[in-house]
Amino acid sequence: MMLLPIPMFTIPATDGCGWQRPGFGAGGPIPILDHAARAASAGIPGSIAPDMAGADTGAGVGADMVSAAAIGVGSLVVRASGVAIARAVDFTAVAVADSMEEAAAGSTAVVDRVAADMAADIAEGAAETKGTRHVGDASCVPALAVRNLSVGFDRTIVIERLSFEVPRGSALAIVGPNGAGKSVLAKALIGALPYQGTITWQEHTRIGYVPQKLDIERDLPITGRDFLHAKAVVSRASEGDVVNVLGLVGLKPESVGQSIGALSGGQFQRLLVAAALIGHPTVLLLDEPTAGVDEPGQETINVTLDRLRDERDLTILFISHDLSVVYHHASNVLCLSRGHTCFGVPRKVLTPQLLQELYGAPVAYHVHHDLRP
Amino acid sequence: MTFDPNAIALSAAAGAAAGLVGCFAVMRRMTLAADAISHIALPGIGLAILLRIHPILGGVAALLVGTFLVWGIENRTRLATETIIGVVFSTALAIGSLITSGEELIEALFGGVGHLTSLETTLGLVLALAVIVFVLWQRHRLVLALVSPEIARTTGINVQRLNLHFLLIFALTIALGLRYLGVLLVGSLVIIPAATAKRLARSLAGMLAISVAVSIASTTLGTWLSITLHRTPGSMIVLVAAGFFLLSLLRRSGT
Repeated sequence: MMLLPIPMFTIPATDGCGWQRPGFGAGGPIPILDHAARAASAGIPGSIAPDMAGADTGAGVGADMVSAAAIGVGSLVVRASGVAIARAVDFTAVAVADSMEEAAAGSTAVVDRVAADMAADIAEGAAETKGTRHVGDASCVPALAVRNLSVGFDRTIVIERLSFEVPRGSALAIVGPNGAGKSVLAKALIGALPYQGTITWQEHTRIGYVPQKLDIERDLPITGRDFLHAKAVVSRASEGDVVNVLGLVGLKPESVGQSIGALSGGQFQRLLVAAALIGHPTVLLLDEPTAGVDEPGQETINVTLDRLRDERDLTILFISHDLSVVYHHASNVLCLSRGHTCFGVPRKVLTPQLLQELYGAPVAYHVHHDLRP
Repeated sequence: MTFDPNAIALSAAAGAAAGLVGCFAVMRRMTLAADAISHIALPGIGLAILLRIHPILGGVAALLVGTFLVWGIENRTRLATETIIGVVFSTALAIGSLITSGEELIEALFGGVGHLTSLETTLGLVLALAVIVFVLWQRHRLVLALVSPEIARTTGINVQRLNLHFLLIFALTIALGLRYLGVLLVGSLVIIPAATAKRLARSLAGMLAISVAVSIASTTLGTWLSITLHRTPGSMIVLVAAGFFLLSLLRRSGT
């Protein structure tokens, strides 16, 4: 690590985490300073090492330089401004850090939508936000920090220099048109795909993952019970856990006696969600968890997920095409589309203009005023 | 040809091992790989005969090389794994048949009956036990990796390593049957009982149990038939197994 004598710090006058302070909402600014310091500290706990040989070089070097720059700038600002530093300081530092990052990476100026959204948030100083949760000092590390993430196949770049953070206990919706790289992002996050950049999960993170659409042979002699039992054994959970999760997703015990290939699409999705919940995960990563599930079933799953998030302090990342679900259940939304990314609270991000930009066509979705978060 | 209790014991143990490994091989759709991997034993057997060492040792060494080759191909390329496997192992078969000649070739291809030494029997039983223990011990991990490698990964399973271990165990199983069934037939001992079980079973435990039963019945009955009818054991074992598979087709269509 280069030129880094400054230890990790957080800016005073925030809640100690640099985010989620009442008045800024769960969708509030991302603590780039805090994050940069963490990224700069060697041996990030819980980080997934890139599988790809040489993944730490190239963009990785760029990231190190950025971290150093960000910390340097941050410390200057902190020292200059004294103790009572407003959120604006974060943003100043972020903006400077971002511009330095672009210079460091030597790329053409890419509009950092994350920073832009943060700026909008700060300017508005939004008061209430769904899912806001005050997190004490012990929880300052976000559940997930992604920095400069790039993922590609062969010569096609699917995700380019994506950065975002997911506060603990929040729900992040990942939206975007088909082919935008949502599932690719999910797979990179669990380390199943090679990537460049850094992905840092909080220490002791246990992920419950629901993959998108599995190709299961109809006559595979593995029952739902076999599958859940396997998941329970490997994650050292009890059989009581299995019974418990079946209740949570509304699956009848007799339907898990069937071959998983013979289950209906909706039943199978519920089974996958149930399996993800086994072993007391701290994070749920769901790739279209309710695809193919009937309307009441979707509601059951979404309400259950909301409740678990509250009860177990779960962090949820979910990919969805259902914008009203995103609106009602997400604290933040990350939109992906080739060339565009955005991040923020759904109420602000999911504007008709942005959706049109994202999907390349007008998108109509209906949100009742009385249901607005 | 006389009745040899060692041969029966070993064929039963190898049958149980093949039945268990076969279940996951079939569910993982490795049917072609099963045949192909066994073919690579041939050049190893040929070389061993040339070098005057035990043919099975040569076969096992070649199988291990083949295993790493398949694993490497699986990890490195996304496309047409089966095509590559097909090309590589047909080549192995061609090379093997050039090195090996005459009766040795026939025995390597279709298996032989030669007398078992006590060392061979003991080694065979130990290997069979190792295979059985591995599959029973790792079955939950194998199930998760089978349904979704990503779910397996997030549950803390090193999927690549598990795949390698499974392929090694698979190669060991092939090696176990090599002497009796030969390079061409040994793959079917792994595949046919498991394919039969897959048609009949409705749960994992059911499939494992049926597959082991069919496999043991095939190896022991086949060995006994080969002694009684004075035929090579490999052909008899595979024919008995195929008979069970045909019966499973009848039963399924009747229900």
